[in-house]
Amino acid sequence: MAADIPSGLTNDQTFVQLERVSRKYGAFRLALSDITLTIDRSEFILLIGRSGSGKSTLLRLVGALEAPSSGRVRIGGEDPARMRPNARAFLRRSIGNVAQEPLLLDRRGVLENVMLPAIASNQTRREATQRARAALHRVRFEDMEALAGELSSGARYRLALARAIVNRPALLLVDDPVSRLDVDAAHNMLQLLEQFAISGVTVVLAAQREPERMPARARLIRIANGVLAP
Amino acid sequence: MSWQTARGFCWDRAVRMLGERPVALIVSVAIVSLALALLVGGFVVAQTVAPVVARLPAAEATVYVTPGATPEEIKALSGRLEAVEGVARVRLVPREQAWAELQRRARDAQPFAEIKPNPLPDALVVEFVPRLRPALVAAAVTVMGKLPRAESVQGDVEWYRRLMVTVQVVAELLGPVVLITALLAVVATVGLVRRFAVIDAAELRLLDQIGAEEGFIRRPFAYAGTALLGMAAAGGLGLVAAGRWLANPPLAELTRTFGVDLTLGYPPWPLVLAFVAGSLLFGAAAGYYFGGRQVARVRGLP
Repeated sequence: MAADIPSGLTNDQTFVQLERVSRKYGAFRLALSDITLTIDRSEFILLIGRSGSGKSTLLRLVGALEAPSSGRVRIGGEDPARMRPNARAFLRRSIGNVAQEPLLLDRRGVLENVMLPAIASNQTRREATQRARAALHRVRFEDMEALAGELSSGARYRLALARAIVNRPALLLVDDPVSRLDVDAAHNMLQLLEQFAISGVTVVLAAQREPERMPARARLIRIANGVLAP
Repeated sequence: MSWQTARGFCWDRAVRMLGERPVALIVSVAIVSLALALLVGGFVVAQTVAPVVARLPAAEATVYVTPGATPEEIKALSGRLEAVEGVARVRLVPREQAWAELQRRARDAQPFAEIKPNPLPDALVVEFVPRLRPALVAAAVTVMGKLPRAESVQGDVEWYRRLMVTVQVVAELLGPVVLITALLAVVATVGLVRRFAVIDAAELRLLDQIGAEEGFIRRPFAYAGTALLGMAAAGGLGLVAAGRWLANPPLAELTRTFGVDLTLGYPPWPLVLAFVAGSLLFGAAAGYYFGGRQVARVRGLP
């Protein structure tokens, strides 16, 4: 899959930059503390940490879904916290995001769910349908007629992944897909994500433990208690 | 067309939003329809009553001329009467004409044959301008009684005063009643649109995640408001039509009895179109606004 770099993002090799980023929830809960991290284009990052270590918070910051309490996040040279809401929304369209608990429109069909980002990006129905079918094919999803609410946990995850890639993102953030998959399925998922990285997409995958078969391209980053391990 | 696809999706979301609570939707549409029907119905009644009010009889006074006054003196008196404030016109009823009219109206003409000569004086009938204040009519009558060659003045100011007070009270009440009805309609509409403007936190997270713009997120609320008010406007017009259908037979009877057209008509088409368009716009604006507030609330923004 060729990754289209959205207009407005720079072509520098460094794609994501976190400079001394901290994220606090309320007065006391420090989810991330003084994180400095650089992610290059088409890198495959494996972010490993236990539950509650700050992985999901880090992904939300990189996904421009939250702003840091201090420090600065740059994506393609842009600081989402300083962007206007619609510009931030535009930036998010170039980021595929798969949350730990996939958010789906349960009463809508598989195709409708996957088409949604394309429709929100003002694609024509025809184009959105073609892209959705291609994305579903890419994640090897076949049950097009089902409602999202009827799917198994693994199928929901693949559906969310298909939706995340439908807009041909430059950055793909995937939160903990392997912990609920068996060894083979987890390996297949990793291979798929690695293919995205090979085709130019920057991939950040969060997981609770190291996979049994480590992808060759992956750069391992460990996180614990909101701090990156040296 | 890409914008059609996005708008189609937003319409779909709006319809689902309304369809999630069908009973509440029916009740809401019924309430807003009733509120809108009161407004349109009020206009229809006002439209019917306005010509009747416009044709309310003006006050009149009859000035009896002193017996023996010459035609020149009568003409001079007529001119002075016309110069009195509030007088619209003056017409002479010669004594012969009045006597003949009296005999014509009497069932038994025999008593009149024995009365000679004609005892009636010449009379000048003074017509005041329409809806002149009763106090001015009374003042004018007093002035007329003091004019040279005016023997006496007969003016039933009391019935006119009662009529004008009634008209004034109705007119003064009409404003607040219309205002209160309009306010109730607005409050009911806003409250009901607000009830339907709900977004699930997970759905909002999803829309944020996929990079949906604010307009894409809020548009379904505007569409839901438009649909709600569109249905209510249609319902309101339907209720007015039904009310007209029910009320017109008895009103036709009144029309025949009083000789004044009291049957209810339809409001003019431009007004109907403006009413429908206004309702749709109001629904869209209310939906968009309250949808935005709901989105901000779910996001935890002030």
